[in-house]
Amino acid sequence: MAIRTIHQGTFGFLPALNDAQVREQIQWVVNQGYAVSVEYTDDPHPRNNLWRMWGLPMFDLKDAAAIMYEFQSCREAYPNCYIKINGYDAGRQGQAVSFIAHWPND
Amino acid sequence: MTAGKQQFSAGVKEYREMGYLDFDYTPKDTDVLAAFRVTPHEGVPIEEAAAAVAGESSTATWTVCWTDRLTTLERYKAKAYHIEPVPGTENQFIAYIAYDLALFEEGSIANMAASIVGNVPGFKPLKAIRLEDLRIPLHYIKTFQGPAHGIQVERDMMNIYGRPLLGCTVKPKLGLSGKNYGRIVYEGLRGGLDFTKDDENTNSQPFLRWRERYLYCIEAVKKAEAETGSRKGHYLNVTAPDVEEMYKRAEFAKEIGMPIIMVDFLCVGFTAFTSLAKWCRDNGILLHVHRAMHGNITRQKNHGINFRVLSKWVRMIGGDHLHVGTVLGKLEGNRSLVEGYCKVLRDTYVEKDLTRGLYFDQDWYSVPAVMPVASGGIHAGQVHLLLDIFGDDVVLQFGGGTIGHPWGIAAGATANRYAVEAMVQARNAGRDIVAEGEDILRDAAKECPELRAALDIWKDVTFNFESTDTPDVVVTPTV
Repeated sequence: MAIRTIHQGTFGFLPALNDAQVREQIQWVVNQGYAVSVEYTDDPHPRNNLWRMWGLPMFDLKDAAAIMYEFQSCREAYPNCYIKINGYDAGRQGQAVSFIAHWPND
Repeated sequence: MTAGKQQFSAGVKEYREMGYLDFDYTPKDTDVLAAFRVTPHEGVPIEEAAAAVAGESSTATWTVCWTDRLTTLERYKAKAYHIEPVPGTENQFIAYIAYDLALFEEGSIANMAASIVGNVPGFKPLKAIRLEDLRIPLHYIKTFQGPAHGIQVERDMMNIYGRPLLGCTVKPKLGLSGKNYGRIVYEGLRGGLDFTKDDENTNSQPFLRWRERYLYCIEAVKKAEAETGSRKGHYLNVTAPDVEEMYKRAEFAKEIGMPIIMVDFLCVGFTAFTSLAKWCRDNGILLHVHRAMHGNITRQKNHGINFRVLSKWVRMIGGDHLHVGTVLGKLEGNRSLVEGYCKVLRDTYVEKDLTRGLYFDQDWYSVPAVMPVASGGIHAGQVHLLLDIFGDDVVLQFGGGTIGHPWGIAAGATANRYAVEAMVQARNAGRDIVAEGEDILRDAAKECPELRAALDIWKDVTFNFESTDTPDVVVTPTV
């Protein structure tokens, strides 16, 4: 694994999460009642707010499976991009969760 | 003579006979309500003491003045409407007093403080008096700006979600050169902290003038951002001898691109603090609020102002961060009371809860939330407890717990960051972080030698002293 120089997101210092761990985290986001989305980019500059959306956020989910499927599809399409999972809390009118689930060269 | 006229015949009257005591009064939604802890001198009945507090903090003086009859004094009189003895004490009472909204100038904490706790704390018939809590009506709250940005905007500005933010105060706080100061900032940030910070008395002393410090700090922030690909900040203290100088420093912090500044709100005063909060909103700069000097006001249980009142004032005026104590660290703070301060700073609606020292319901409606800051004597080995106490919306500041790491500052920062991430991951995965916290940290330390070294050196450090302030009412566990 290359030395990581990007430390963004909730788990920027932990070793890359495996699929089971990503799924656990997504399930937690879903359990909070948050809408969940997948975003990807090849430009992880700290000022880049606008990563590309992999489809629309998914609302009212009960199970992590659907987002897991979208995440894996995104990873297949863009293996050399950074991919993050976001949780949106309508109550606080903004993002509540954002962690990188796939790092290039992992 | 009618009762109304009798009240104003010349001479010295007891306050309770002048209309400042009224147990039949039903507070209006627009009233400001205060809960005072009153300790009268022997021989002074509590009814008279409470009425005197109401009188002295609104319209009365020690004698009757004919000029009182030139206005509708009934309207402007504060009323002591309820008195309760404090459980477990001999001579302490909570006196509830209602103030008409017209008594207060819009948007002015200086005025509110001068009114409610201006004269009465020095009032002779009382041995001691402490303002425990205020219920501030929304009508009044909406005349204030509120936090310059608030938690959610700060998270968007810093691009950090779903975990506590991490900070560290530069140590030693006095005596470093600018270049050495910048080195500490850089090491802490590149190691994994989100923020570093000036300390309360880091201003512009002869050994390090503010401009030089600011420039070395922004260099450190920018370099750490470039290396880690994440956003960073250093709270530049703009506390200054006069407001013109304070603005000069704030403008320079903005000019060089620092996202956040800080101020000692009690040291500069409510008026200067209010102006600075407005400047921060106008200029898109986050405002970290240090509470230096508050211990003089808040610490004695029977006298002064409870910190929850100062917390309400900071949220009304406009801070984005406020120090609240750590529960676990070296500074004062009972857990249930600190939880109460956090609710005051973060919740949209705070319900009365005497076990947390909250004497009234408080509606904040649309006022943004303030980020509590836990700082002073905490370390990586306590991360599970800190996450349980504070949740995600907090800045955890490890000063000695970062800089004191045996392998250096960056290693200390990495240890703290890794511990926090591992704990958040475990919590989200459904583990009981209080029961299993130490195991989670030990497992994480296997992957992170910096964390292992931190746990080895600090594992037994605790500050178990009895709190000087505790709630009067404690929950009796039910079986």
